[in-house]
Amino acid sequence: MEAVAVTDLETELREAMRAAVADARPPRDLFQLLRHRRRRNRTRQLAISAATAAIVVAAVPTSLALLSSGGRPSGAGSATISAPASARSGPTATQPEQSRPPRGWARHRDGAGDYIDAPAAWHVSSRAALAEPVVRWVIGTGPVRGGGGCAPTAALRQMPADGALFQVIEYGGSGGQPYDFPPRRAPLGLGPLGGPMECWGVKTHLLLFRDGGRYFQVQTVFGAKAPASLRAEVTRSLNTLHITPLPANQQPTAQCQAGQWTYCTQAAWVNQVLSKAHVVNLGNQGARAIFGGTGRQSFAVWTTPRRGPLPGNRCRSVADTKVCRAGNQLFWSIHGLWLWLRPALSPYTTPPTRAGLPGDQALRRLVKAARTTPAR
Amino acid sequence: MNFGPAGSGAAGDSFEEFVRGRSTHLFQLALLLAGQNQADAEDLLQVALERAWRRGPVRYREGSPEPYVRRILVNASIDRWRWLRRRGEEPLGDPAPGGVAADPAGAVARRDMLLRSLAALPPRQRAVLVLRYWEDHSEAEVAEMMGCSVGTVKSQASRGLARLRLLTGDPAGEPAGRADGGGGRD
Repeated sequence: MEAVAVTDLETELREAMRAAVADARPPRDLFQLLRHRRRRNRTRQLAISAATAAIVVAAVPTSLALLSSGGRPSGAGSATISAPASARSGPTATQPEQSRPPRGWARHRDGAGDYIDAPAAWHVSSRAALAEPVVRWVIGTGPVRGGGGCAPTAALRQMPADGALFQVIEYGGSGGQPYDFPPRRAPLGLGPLGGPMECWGVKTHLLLFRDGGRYFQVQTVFGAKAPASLRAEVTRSLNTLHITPLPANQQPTAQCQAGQWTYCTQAAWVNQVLSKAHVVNLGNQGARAIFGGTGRQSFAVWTTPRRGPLPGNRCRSVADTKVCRAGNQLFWSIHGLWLWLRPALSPYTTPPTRAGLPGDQALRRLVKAARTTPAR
Repeated sequence: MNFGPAGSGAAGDSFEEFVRGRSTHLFQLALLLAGQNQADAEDLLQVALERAWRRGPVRYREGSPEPYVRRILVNASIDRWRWLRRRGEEPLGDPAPGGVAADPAGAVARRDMLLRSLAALPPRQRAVLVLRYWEDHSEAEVAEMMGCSVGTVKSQASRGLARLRLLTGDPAGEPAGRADGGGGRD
């Protein structure tokens, strides 16, 4: 047994590593993933072998022909590689429920009954690199390797120059938070090209929509040499996206009516206000409020309908708005609502905060942002 | 025991048993080697297991594939970082979602910083520290696993710890009970 010098740091490091991975578990279907990966590698190797053999077979007669013709090619045109037959009968209706995918296409279902169709030659993964939002599908014309932070960067790196890669993600899997997404339109487009996007590091098409009470984002990237027909094919694939609507009692509107404030449109408005006021959004306090953070203070923010008499009487003017105090809470009237702030302890240690109301500057920013952000 | 490729009957089943039995530990190792990046860890583990499965009969005809899988994991994690560096890319600074649990205790913040610093180390240094302090291997075992000399392991570990001290703002770092009898902290 060798002598081991032990420092505080080594002990700390050992404990930190143990604690960090103690609950980490591999994917449940690891062996299935392995089988899949093995099959794919085999197929790739077979394809490479076949291509090599084809090149050799083609090269021998060509060389013989060139030799016999004195080195001149026998025709003006060179051989072209034809693109795989596209699914001409690809569906285009919005939120379709087709009994089967178009010929030459494959259907990719998830456990929730949602599905998307794509040409069978394309590669599909639904491995989640994100906890929230949830990755539903990453689809590419080239290999879709796992790996990446908040974007499928490993797959992006492998995307062929004439290929495409798109990712469908869903927001609110665990949140209960409305987003400012427009309803799904028929047919879906790719969305505007913008960026470089924070996660992807490149420009992407960005499409946001809500469907069946759920919130989706699609980002698409095309290689520099991607043909126009590929855009059409990606769009066609997107339009096969079938979303199972949430049951009526789980739709945000119903949840809001049941008293879950974070499902209400006012919560989405508060999110916008916080963002505009440069207040950090620290997540939800259950379904009642949203945590905001400014500097070292964290507080809960929520709204109530403006009814009855003023619920407090110690008021002062902040950015030309009367801001009042009721106990340890601040509130003011805006767009037919009372907007409330109350000191609250953030659930996160990073950034470190303590329960407290925002300082004067941050409060002014909040008041102004609330005034200039249209109500919903 | 023979962990042959799938499709070869009992041999394939054995490999599946090995995966089921050891995948949690190997995944945790991959997670530390990948700097707490969940997606990269899953990828590393799959690469290592698939390669071991494919080459099984040649590499570990009479024994557990674990040392072989571990070796592939370590080398693949180092190669991946080399590749990223060639591309001029840096891995994300933030830990993967869910990597570190939120906790009000101050100790968690310190631990968080330590793990972030570990993730920021060069891959070879990180691999040495993980194998030495998480898996509790001796320097000779680590050297064998990484295909380098014991001296290299010592120097990589020493540099890794020094860098961690720097990154975490730990000014002392003197050994508490040095084997050579040198003075240290309590």
